[in-house]
Amino acid sequence: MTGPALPRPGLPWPGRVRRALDRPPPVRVGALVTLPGAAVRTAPAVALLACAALAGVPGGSLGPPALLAAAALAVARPALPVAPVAAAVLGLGVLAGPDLLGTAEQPGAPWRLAGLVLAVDVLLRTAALAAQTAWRGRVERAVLRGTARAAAGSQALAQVLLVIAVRLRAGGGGDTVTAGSLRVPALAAVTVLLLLAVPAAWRTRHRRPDPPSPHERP
Amino acid sequence: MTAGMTTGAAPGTPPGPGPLWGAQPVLVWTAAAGMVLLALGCVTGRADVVLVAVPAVLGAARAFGTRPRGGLDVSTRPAAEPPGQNGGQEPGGSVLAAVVRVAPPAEVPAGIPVTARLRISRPGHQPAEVLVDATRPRELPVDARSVRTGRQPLYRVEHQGVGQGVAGPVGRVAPAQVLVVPRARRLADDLPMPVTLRGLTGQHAARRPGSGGDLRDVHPFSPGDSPRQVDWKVTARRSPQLDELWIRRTTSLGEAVVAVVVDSRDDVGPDPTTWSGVRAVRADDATSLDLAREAAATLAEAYLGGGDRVGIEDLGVRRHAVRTGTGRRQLDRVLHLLAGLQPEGEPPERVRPPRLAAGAFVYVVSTFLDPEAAVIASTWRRAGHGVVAVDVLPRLATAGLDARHALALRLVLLQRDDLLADLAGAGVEVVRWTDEAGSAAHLRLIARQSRRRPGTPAGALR
Repeated sequence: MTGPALPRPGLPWPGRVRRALDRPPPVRVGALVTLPGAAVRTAPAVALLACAALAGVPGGSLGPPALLAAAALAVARPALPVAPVAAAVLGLGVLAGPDLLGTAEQPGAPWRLAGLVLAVDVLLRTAALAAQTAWRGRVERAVLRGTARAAAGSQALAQVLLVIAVRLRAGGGGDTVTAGSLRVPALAAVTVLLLLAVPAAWRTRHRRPDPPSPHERP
Repeated sequence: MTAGMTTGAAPGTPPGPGPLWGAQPVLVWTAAAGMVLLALGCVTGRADVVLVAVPAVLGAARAFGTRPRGGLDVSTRPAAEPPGQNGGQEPGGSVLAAVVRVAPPAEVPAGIPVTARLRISRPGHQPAEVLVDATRPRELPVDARSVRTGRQPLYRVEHQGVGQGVAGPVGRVAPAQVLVVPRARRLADDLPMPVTLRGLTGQHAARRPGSGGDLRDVHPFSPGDSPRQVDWKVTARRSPQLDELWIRRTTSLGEAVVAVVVDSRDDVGPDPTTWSGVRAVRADDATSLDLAREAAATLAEAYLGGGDRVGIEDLGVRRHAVRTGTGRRQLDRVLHLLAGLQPEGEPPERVRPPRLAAGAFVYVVSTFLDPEAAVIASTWRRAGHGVVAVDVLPRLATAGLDARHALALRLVLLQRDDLLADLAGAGVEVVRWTDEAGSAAHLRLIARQSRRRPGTPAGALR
């Protein structure tokens, strides 16, 4: 009778590396048509680069490295609000640049604006989805279809507004759009919308409960 | 999976109205960024900036205004018909199959898609994390392959309803339990037999005279013998004057009594770093108790298939496990008992070995990491029982052990080798069960030795 070979204390690292690479068997979820979670996690970065390509990278020489860092951060830490902040920065870049509805100066600018409106929406939607997705997880295609359907309404409205704005500009109504008389009601509308959108719980001041009266029995 | 018994489906989260789903930081920041751009675009009269902000503001407002209320309704149950052939038993182990039912919350605004975020896990497996559409109730088949037997937990499900920037409460579903019955190996019909058989019926020829067996000898006719047994040719040759009749005597038949003694006190895996119990054994690593269940099931099925009597003893508990019996129902009893074996605390030290039937052939199935099983096996051997020690310590995965683990394992294995050498010296055959071909050949050799008549040279066996 010979027993098992006695182990010798040798080099521990190759074995540990092999053990780390040798993953346990997975739990399988069947009957699903899915995409890998890694693809969903990297989608915000791709959308962010597309937005930057359409809007132009602001910030001078620091712009491209910051953009790449933001893209990497959006992939690595999807729970951080990288995508909304990046969208706001890109919007500020649009604000600082020439008017994209100025069709006379830039013939292809409305198309760029249409692409930018779409890309920003995709960026924000995919960022919200990526925040819920594990790196090794799976995402059912029906979830992506539902997200696309939910985004279709607001995207269609934005594109219709874009067409209207372009028509107004092309028909000589550009001054109407930028008229100072419309800015005040527009700002008021935004403020009302803001107040409606912000939850009521955020606007109410939380009061401390009154201390119990010494005459009350516990 | 031969899931003979379950303790019922795990209860899911009770449906009903609950809190509104909360807004995630991403949604708040999206709304804020959209508002800022919208305000700046209005103030500066830049319609292009306003248009960039419109989808963000509208999307955030819609997500916030159409939040569902309450948690998902999730439950699990074992699958009625596991995938795969042979009832879930496959060469790579058994398939633990279950069904996860996901239903949307009680209050969902019309037209709003609901997504379920599921994390499905079980010990020793890599968990699955999926985002699935839960707008309508649906059932998801879940399975995982495992070589483990006995009482096994199914899947623990952690779930959360999520939407566009909103998320519901987190719920958890406790795993249901299934009993995975061990699968028997195929053994040759040639099995070791005890020295004495029991009874007057059975499948094996005994040594005492009787009916049903092979020729034993020829003997002068005596009162009580049947005239049908008279061998006229022998009588004519030995007694030409017919003053004495000679009869052919045959051997009787009998059945073997086999006791399979399983040591359920140890349940160790191939990786010695898991022996402390801190780290879980992988699902594709069979532990010593899995091997012990398989060995005992194999031996029981082989002997019961040959018409013999088999009983089970457990060294881990102080009660009689399964008394000896025969037949298909006895096999079911044995398999069910084996599936339920598990270490139960720290059993007190035995004063005397369990009582066995007289003349029983004994298999002691143990890891022999401590001397108790070896001492009991030696005691039975001294009492005249035929004893085979079945070593079920798994093949050890020693790669990657640090110096302290390697030294500790070396000491344990040295002590164990001494125990096994003492067993062999006491006349107990030691069969290593992890060596499939070797163990079968060793059992065949023991079977041939057990049938050896006194006076036959041992070398004639080979």
